[in-house]
Amino acid sequence: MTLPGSPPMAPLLLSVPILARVFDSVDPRFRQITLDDLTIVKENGSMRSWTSSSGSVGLGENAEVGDLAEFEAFLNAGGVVEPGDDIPAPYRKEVFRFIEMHANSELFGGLCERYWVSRAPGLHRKMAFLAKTQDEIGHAHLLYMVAADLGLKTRQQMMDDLLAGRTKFHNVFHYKTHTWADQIVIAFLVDAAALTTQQAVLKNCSYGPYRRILRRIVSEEGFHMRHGEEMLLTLADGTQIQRDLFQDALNRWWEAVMHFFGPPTKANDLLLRWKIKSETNEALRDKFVQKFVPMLHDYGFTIPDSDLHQNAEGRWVIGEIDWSALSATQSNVGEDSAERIALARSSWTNTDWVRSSLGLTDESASKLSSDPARVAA
Amino acid sequence: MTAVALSPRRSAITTSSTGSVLESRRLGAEELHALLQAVSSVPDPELGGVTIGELGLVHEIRPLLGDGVIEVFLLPTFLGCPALKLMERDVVAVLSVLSVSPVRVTWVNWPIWSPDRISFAGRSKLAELGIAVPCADVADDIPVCPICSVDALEAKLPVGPTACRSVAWCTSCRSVVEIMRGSHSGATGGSYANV
Repeated sequence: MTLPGSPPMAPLLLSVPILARVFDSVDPRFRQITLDDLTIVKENGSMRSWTSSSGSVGLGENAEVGDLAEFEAFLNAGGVVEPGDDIPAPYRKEVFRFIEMHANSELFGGLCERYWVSRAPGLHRKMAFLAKTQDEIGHAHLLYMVAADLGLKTRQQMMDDLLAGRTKFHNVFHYKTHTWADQIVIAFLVDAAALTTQQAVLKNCSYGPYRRILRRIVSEEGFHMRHGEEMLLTLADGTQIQRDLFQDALNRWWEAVMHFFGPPTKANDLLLRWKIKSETNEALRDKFVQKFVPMLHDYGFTIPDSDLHQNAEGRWVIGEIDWSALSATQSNVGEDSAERIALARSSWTNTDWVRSSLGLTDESASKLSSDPARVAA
Repeated sequence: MTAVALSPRRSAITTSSTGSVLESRRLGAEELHALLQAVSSVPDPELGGVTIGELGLVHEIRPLLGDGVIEVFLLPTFLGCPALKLMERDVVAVLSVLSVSPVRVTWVNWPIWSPDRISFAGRSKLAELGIAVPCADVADDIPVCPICSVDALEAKLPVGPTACRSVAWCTSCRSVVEIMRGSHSGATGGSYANV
């Protein structure tokens, strides 16, 4: 575990005015090598190790939540945990659970996008959906690798648990997409919600390997959101039929998007306490509401929340949230959970031949396909 | 502009590694350079903070004599890159701030883009994102880890989240990193290892 000695990671430059950027030499033939060029900024340069500085070697695997005062002081000072460190067991478990859920959600997100590749209108949209599918599946790959390295489950075990419905994935992938507009809600609002939560994790995440891949994931989610916005604007600028299509989809999905951020964070939340997350669910939901409610209003759409209003300071306040639908998705018994898991399972078994031709051993996958009960489900 | 007709003002400008020299009778070298820098400063839509100039995607910029259109020639990393339309739009947007001339963006497929075109500033920004740049002349070259600089990368997946990157694992710092793929990476973009 390490303490950053140099300034924290530079923020992603997603919204900096284009012209304000530092210009780079554009002709590779005229590269002027300077000292600056050769100094590659390393995130973990000049950091100190948690294990060697704290003296609490050996506590790791046997540690319990109560034993971690010293470790927590290290985290509170901005310490970053690295895989080779003596990671306390409760922290390992929490960070693993979080990354596994993220990986599962990326995979289901990819499968959800894939469904629309053949259905999206026009070659340009099909290409975009193809690329986004690849992005999401690619993100799942990166995340499963980081999760597997934590040593609690192998990648195959994570896949088995997911396909058997034993582990969770994000609530938004437990519902049907009825029309093209439903998919646009996902591509715009759900991706924006995901970006909001991921940016908050990235800002201050104490687990080094996760934070590093999140930087790339967040950059790509920003790209998805722009694509989603473009599709939304096409409908918003379109005919009444197109606008109604989006309004209907918004009516179906708004609650699920609010649920996406999760129920109010409990006071003793370990993810927050150990800096795996840096903001509460309510704070992130509120950030999203303040940005997207006025945007959707500007586009001329109505938010399906009769209690939605602006308070004295002009901030948007949403009505009481009914959490019952979220609880159902968390137990994998949401509206479309069974279908989605079955789809993922058949996609996994149908690609057995790819893995076997690449020489990947895949015992459980073959077990899955030969288990009639599971195939039938 | 009779002076121009009598004595054409030649302003050589090129961003191409093939060395073509463009001429302009309309814009001075400084103006052209400003346009070129503006185009080069457009951020890649999928790589937070890295510009298309740094990635070596800017091939040429040519203010046409006839119709007054500024034509920008860009190289895609991969022909099927889904971000081409967005980059096109961003280039047009940034030039419309500087110039009233209409802008046309043309994607060219020669020379073929390769990771060798990525500038040093681009390389260090990519390293910060955990993306390594291989040597394009060496088939399946595996560079050092962009995070810890140790020669300990193991190729894992031939294609990662995007067509232009493969996935590798650093056995030293145990980070999941990506490697830019290029024209010399072969069909697989790296040898395949069990994940």
